[in-house]
Amino acid sequence: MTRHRNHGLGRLVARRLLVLPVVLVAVAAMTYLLVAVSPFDPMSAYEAGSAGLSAQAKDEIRAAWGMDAPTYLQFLHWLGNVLQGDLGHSRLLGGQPVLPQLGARLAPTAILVGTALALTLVGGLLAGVAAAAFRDSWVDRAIRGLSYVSVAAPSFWTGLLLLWVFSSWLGWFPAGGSANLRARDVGLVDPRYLVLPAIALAATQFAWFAMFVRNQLLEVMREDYVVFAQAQGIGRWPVLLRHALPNALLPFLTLAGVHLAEIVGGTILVETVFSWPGLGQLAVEAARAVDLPLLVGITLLGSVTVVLGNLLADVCYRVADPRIRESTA
Amino acid sequence: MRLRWIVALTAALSLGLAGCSSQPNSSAASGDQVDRTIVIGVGGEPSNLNPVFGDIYGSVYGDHWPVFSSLLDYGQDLELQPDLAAELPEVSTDGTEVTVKVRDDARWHDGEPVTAADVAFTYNAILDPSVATPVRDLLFRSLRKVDALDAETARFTLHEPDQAFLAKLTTGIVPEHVLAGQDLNKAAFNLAPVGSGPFVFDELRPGERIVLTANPDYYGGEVGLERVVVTFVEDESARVRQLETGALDVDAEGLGPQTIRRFEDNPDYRVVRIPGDLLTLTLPTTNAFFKQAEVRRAIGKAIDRQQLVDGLAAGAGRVVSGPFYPDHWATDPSVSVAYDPDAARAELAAHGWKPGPDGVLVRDGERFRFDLIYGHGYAEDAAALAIRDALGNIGIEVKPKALDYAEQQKQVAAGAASLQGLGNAYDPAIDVFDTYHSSLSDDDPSGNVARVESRRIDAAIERGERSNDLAERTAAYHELHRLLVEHGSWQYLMQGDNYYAVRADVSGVEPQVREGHVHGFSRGLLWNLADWSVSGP
Amino acid sequence: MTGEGTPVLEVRGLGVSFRTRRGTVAALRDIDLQVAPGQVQVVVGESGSGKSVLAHSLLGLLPRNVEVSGSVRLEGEDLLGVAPERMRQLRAQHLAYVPQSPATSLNPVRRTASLMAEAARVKGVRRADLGERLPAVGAAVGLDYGSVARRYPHQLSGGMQQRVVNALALLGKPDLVVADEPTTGLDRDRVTATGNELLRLADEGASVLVITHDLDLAAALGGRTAVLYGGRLVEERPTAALFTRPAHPYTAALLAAMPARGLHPIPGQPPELTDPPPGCPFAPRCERVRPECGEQVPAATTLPDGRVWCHAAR
Repeated sequence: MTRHRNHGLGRLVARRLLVLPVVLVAVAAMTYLLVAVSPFDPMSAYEAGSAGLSAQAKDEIRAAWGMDAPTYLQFLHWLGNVLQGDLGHSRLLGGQPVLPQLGARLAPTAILVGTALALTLVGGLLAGVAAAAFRDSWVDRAIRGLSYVSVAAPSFWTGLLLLWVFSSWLGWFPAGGSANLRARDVGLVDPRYLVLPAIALAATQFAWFAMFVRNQLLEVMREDYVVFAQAQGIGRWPVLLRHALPNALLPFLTLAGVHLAEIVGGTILVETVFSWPGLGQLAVEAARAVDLPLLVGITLLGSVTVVLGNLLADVCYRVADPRIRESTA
Repeated sequence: MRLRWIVALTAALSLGLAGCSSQPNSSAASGDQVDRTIVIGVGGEPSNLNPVFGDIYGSVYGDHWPVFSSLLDYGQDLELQPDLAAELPEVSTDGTEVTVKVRDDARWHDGEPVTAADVAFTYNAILDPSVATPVRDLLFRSLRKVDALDAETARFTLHEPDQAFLAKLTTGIVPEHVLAGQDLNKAAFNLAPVGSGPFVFDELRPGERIVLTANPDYYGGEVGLERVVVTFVEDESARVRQLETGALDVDAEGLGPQTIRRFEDNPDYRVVRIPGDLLTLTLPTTNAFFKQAEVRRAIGKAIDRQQLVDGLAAGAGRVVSGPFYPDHWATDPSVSVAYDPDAARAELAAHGWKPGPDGVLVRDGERFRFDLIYGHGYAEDAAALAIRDALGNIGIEVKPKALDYAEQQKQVAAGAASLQGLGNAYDPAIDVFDTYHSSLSDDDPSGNVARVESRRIDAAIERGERSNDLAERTAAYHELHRLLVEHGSWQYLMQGDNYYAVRADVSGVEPQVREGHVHGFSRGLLWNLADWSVSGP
Repeated sequence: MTGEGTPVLEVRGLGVSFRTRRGTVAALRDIDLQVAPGQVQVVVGESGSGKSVLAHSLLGLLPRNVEVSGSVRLEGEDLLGVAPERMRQLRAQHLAYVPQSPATSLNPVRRTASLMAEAARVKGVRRADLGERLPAVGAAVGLDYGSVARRYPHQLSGGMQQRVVNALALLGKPDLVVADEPTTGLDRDRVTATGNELLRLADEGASVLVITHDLDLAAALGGRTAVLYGGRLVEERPTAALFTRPAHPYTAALLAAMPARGLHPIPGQPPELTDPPPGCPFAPRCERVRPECGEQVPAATTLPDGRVWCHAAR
């Protein structure tokens, strides 16, 4: 069995990783294409800050940034550089190489997304199990109510509410940023600054996940193997947690990728509300400025995250469900 | 040319969520190692810290952020004074050679001396067509070359005399020994600069802050602040929250007239007010509705400027009559534009515009109806709606249209009416040619958007630019002022103020008298940052 | 009813009805049944007769939307209204359940060893004894524990799954084994084998209650058989006697419908549980129907070897 499983998983991982570069090139080409057909022009975005440039000055600036060639040539040029490990230089970031700049800016967003993901999973799991275990009781009603509210509330609203209550009013948490601005030698982020934005970001997915766990559990509780486990005298919680829950969570792994993408996308609003120094804000800036190398770099980073996240979820799914594990062998 | 879509009216809705109580300096008391640090909030993250590329916020005058020093510099009253220059430059009699002596005691932050070679390097970099800077076109079209005659002397050679040229010598000087031979567009220096100003660049934490420390060897004397943290907080309500929780000491981006009220009566803060951009309405002469000057002037008479000041600037701005700041020497104080809707109606009727059945003016079956183009924003919306209402009152139907920049450019070039922000606190010669000279009245939207084509106006512009004599220049610009009001294609409406909040324990805050634009951390509020100090941690 | 000692299971006047949107549905009414120690008791009935509801009533696994009346006593203790934790203990220590479909009743994400060890611990086997006990109980039902322990349920054959389920039933030395349709979907050979395995459970000392629609299985199991129709018992007698001389017209019709006996279908349809006939539930289809059959539910008539609920039997 073990040999088979590894074989099947190995092939799955290898296949996906082989496809990844193709996906990335396609995403990059798509981004270039979108910019080419969009009415937005890097030069006019540039000019919005310094109006009234002469045609000659515009031409000089275009030439300096390689923006004078047709978009498809720019893309091919970019592609050629990528093969040498160069993702281009960003006008928005002082003309610095995109890759190391993104690397430097990735950490705060990754920490935020990771924390929010953990909060969503743990919080949603606890809430979903509690709601299912005490179905129709006040616990269930309270959790369902909270979920409906948090589904309906946009994340910036949740964020502002959190700030108002826990920062301005109670003063428990700072009002934004990722570290004390007065402090020297701060680390990547200060945990106190992480709490509120992580909750705001997690809130966007919490409701979905809690309700998913609850409904899935109630569904699975009717399955023969759960009834059989009960009939053997296995206690209520072991039945719920050891028999029903693993089966209830299996379908989640197939959906995890989609929701990972939503969380990654959600960082844009949350980072703005909490002045969190991450890629979400930078992405907006890059789009506004039509800074193609940066925009493509961020898009690719997002794509890699989502593809790898999906792959991880699929691997987990196969490891978690022995039936699928077998059939991929 | 100094024309911007009205961004200077910084009125914006505060969400009002921030601050039922404030905990001053709560974050400072939390055990982190802190200094006598000042934290300044600005709106956006600079995309480039190298002054060769212009203002770090993308506009052209913000050359004076305090890591760098420049040959000349503006004082509090916006008078030019020497900075790196040992004395004011010498201009040759034909006006085409400007010679500057560099002071001998200035050193780069890495210890090297600042020389005339650095000056020549900086300006020649700007002139290099392969360097992607807008400054070359916007400011230095008159400059041919710069030579270092010796270690202390730099000579600028101009194509033609340029009255505003000295005002352009405020660009930060960059070190040749660090940058020579590099592709400036991609130099690492652009995000990790070395300057010679009062503050040393310490750190850029992406998306969050720039940290500066006092330069102990500053030629300008002792620097009051030990450490300056500039943080990027785009959202106004977020800046307010951070001010009120003590995370910020200074809001240098500017707060709207509604938002600033919460700080006005609070003894923990000082509210700084600096007059800002002019709000103007352009009525291009190429637009069929605006062909006649009488019609354009009638439109101007239909707008109650005082009401705009009350409505848009919470009463704290002022009515303007012309293209220059009201207290600028170029402004003719005798000119005013009266609010007279009846006269406006009569004038329009004389031109065949009679009220139709629904009150809208009609001539030969055509309704008097035009689009008003402006940039996105809450303050911009408010201004556009105020214009719509004022003109609706005399039977002109205005359709406000908020567009992004490229689309605005297109429509304005095609002759659409628009709202423009206009502001030049310095020498009028910097921008009046680009804005009003008939030679730039073409389909290129970069200059003369209202298509002003008047020989008398051209002559006044040229006189003001050519003369060396202030009295003669003043007379020329006063005449230009009168001629433009008569022309009517630009309706100068009002000047709003920019408001900044500063914690009361910060001392040395003596803002410059005017600043048309919000420059983040250069000019205006922060021009004398080196003289500031904080009394507490 | 034969009275050999105290009954392990004593059901008296059991009624189960479901509250649904369309009103109350009476699934079981007036069920009286006793199972003596070591006895095999078969309950036969067509689908819809209330068989599974009976099995779930005995195990305390009825859904939340039911109303229950009467009593169900296990070793004298009433199971209806007992605290949930006590019910769980009873299931663990005194009851065993052989489910309808072993294939879907074994948790798909758990290995056999894990499932068996968990059940064994619940049923009081000490951890230290697991290594000995699990193979032993496997051997008792013809299962080679060593070869299935590391496998997942879907990797076992149908026969092996059945034996795992049987082994689980034996783990706690139960007083009563309840088997709910244990032969659904099995071929003839497996039916016979399953019958033998259930008998083996009885040999281990448990009473066995087998609920089935499969008359061949009932015949193979022997013991006593009760016949359920429309939520009511119609006949309860020794299996052999019932198969040779059915006392109730429905039993007779059921037997006549067996393939081996000519496959004569019963005319008409089983009653709607939402709208039961006022008298005998079989009256509308009965060849020997009398006027009172349609008006009055027949009371039990005691026969020398059991009971029958029929006006014609008086």
